[in-house]
Amino acid sequence: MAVFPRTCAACGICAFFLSVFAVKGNTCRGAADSLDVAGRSVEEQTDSIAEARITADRSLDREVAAEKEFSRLEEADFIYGNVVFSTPDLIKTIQTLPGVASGTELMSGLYVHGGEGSDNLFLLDGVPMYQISHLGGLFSSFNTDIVDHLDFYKSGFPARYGGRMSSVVDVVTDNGSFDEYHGTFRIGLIDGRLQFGGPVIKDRMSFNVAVRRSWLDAVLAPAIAIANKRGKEGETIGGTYAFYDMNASAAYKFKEDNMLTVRFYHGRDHLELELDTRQSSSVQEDGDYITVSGTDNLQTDITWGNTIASIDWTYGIRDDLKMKTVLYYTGSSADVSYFWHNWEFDETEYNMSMDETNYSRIHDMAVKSDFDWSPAESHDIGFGASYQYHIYDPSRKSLTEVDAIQDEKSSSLHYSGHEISLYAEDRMSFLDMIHLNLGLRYAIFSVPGKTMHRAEPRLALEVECCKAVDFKVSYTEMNQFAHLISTTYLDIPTNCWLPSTSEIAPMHSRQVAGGVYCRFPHKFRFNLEGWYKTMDNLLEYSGANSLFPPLDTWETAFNKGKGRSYGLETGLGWSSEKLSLTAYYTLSWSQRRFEDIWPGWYPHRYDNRHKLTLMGEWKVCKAVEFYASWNYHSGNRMTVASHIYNPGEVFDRIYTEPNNVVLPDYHRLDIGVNFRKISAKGLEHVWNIGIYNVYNRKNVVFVAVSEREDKSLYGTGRAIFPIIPSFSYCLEF
Amino acid sequence: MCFCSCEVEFDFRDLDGAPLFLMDGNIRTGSHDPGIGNFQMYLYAVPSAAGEHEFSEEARCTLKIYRNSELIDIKDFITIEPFYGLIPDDYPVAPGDEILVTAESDGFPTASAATVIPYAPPVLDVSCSLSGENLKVIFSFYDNGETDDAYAFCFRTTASHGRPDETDIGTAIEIPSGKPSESSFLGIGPFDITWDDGIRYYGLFDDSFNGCRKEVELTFPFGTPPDGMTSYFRIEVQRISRERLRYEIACNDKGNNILGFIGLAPVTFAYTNVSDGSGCLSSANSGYTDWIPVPDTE
Repeated sequence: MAVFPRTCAACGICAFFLSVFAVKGNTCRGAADSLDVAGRSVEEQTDSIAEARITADRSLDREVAAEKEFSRLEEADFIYGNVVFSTPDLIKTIQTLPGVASGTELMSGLYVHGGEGSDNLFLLDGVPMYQISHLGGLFSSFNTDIVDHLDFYKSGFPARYGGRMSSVVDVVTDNGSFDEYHGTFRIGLIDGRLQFGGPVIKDRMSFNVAVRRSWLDAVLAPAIAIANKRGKEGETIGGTYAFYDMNASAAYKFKEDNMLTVRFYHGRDHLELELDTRQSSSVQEDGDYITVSGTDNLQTDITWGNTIASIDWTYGIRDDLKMKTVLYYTGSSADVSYFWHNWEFDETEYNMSMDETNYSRIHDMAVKSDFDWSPAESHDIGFGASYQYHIYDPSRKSLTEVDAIQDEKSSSLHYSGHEISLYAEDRMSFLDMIHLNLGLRYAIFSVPGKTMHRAEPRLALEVECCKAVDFKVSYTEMNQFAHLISTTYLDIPTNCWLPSTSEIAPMHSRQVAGGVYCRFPHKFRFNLEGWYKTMDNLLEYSGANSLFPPLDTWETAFNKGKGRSYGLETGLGWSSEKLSLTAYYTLSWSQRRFEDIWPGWYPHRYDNRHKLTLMGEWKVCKAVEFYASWNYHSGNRMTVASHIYNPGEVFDRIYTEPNNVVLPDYHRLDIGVNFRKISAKGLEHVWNIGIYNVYNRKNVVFVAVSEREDKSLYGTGRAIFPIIPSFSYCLEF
Repeated sequence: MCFCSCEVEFDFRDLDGAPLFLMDGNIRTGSHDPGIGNFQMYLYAVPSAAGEHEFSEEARCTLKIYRNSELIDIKDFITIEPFYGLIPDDYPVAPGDEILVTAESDGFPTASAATVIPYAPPVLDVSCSLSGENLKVIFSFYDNGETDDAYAFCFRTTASHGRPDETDIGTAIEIPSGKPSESSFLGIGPFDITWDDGIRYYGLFDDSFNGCRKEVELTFPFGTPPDGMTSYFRIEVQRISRERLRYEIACNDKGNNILGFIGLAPVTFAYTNVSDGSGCLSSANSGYTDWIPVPDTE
């Protein structure tokens, strides 16, 4: 991955500006320019699938100069840098950035500045997305074939963003070219993809479609057949897993500054598991031994995913006033059904079964309008409003039958919520060296019985000391009215989204961040940032026993607490035409305080003290490029007994502080190589070979705690992802 | 592609090597003995999971009990033992008193815990009816909206030829089921937690009904009394310090939270209100309803 370096044809310094920490390059196509503000000469030239080049007018830099805390990632950043099972992944690319804890290995967790995974606002073309991963987090829901770029904010949030309290991931897809047809076909070890786009009416209307599907089901089927053949007699296992998603868009350009775009996204995962066992034994009945048999049937069927549909209209009202209005639906569902049937005594005498279904659904219908007004050279004003209608709809039903006696239980929740947001921000410039972004967002959230009002001030100040050095400081507040309710730390479909209520206050964060950003001669780049963040009204499950969150008692079954996080992060980079080197280091603390769990502050489970990422890319020639990255972070934390005593016949364990031990450090090396060939017909072939975890580091995912004879404790960590070679082929046309 | 699991063993680097005191104590006052707090505490000296497991033979343990910062008792144990057993005593207490207990010894951090004696429990309105073999009980009470409260209930029965004496505590009833699909803890009906303290208690936080009237309905199997005798039912109600319910939840969590033990789920089992130690010191103010004759089957 190469997040830092970008080449700008217009001015060399833009190469740096487009880096993770330097903002000016981002201003070439900053988040605000999704409004396509007039006067910006933005041109994108994609001369290979692995590299997107952007040229921009230097004068644009000032416009959003106060937005230094966002990182712009583009096609080249997530195509080859983080290829796992040959599948480029957008979220895993973000996980390498400083200030972000990745959580459990290869999951799509994003724990930004001490926040939780559900505290991040994921926007797909401006529309929130709830389920951001496939296969429990192994793959993200964003198909990189159609993603144009993403902007990632972890502090200094502009006022136009709201609804989550830790970060913003604003993903923008490509509408397709208005001039010519382009497409890609990619095949990897686990999935296949096809993307195709181009003009419907030249210079007027374009389309872009991307689909992908995993074929794990095809791989698993023979493996399961072999396992059943070699497995225990009387035991049959079955199962299948597949995911697919599709993105489609059509854009119609009435004029250069008047465009209507229709977009659709649909993604689903489907998992089925089945286990049948049949056993026989001899029992004594009326003095005689008879052979009886029994069967156990276990079936689990889980389907989950997202659907998004949107229409957006971008319109230049005047030369200095632009508007973008989006009307959308976004929905997420997770349906879990579980069936267990036990027969004994030749299926006649004893019969027990359990049917359970769990549905978790959320639907949002919304409209939002953003305006960008440039009344004077020193002011760029953004303002807008949005209305969202939320429906939260989890339910559960269970039917237990023992010898024809049925016990049926069901419970469900239904909340409808109205969320209205208004915002305004002014990006001001003084003396050509001071840039101030002053904003305010006001949110109103209403559920039956409770209406909440929250004001969120946003401030970002940047001072350009000289051409090579900038200082920046920001203060932001964010509120979150949606809570992901989970009884575990796993990203599984039994989790459900529920709103703030009269009992559950909105989560709230305050963050101060600041840093210095330097550009040295010979393309060296250096930055140093610090942050301090507090979080209130956090929820943590109190209890055990079930993967399903309690619906009827959810408002009291979760402890309420707070969190804080602080740290320093730094980045160092150097690039030349052929070689690019990048290093990120983060020193951070992340803590929680739940009075009902522990009377003081204690470490968060992803309180990774140190995080270091080293990356390099070497373009040997036009046809060959190598890349490598080494990722290190201090181990995650877990709660282990600190003392052992003997209250009776058995030894018991005492736990004195949550997350009191640090697990072994995490590190791994990934390497890869791309071979390219452009045919006479202009088709580009790319063969990618990658190796994940080259030196087969056993990174711990979960830990069993055991006692030695002397009663001292030790851990047995389970590593799930050893060395994983992968291969993919891509054809671009 | 190589996709298999593998194990790695390691020592925990961060475990504290010092031993600590585990206190599990409760001070109970109530209508049965007003002005007197019945103190009962189990005290353990517990070795670290990483440190020495034998205690110094010369070490001594001293237990001090304070009421509103005034030292009211010292219990000087001769040597450190892993388990001191049940330490009982009675002290004069009144609602609102703060009781502080410390345990100190060389080589141990001084453990301390405090609790505030709760005010009298609420008056319960109780009705019960027998339907077949099941007793249906409905009881209700008003919660004080100005305080965060917790309650513990014990359901008792006895059979006699005449109305039992009010000092007759009867036999505790265990309620076998509740709403297992929804409760965090199986089989506790509308309650937040249940625990066995010699007899079974059922606990409720007032979070969901703070300042309101709370009504609880229970149905459970109920045996028929011997011929000629009548069954009576009563409820023991305690206004109890919240830390007791928290601690019992933590103990329950410790017995059930399989994913928590391997680091994949939140845990509550570290909860304690003992500084530099472990366990719980709580207090309760108890009362009883009158004995109610259980009517015959409808």
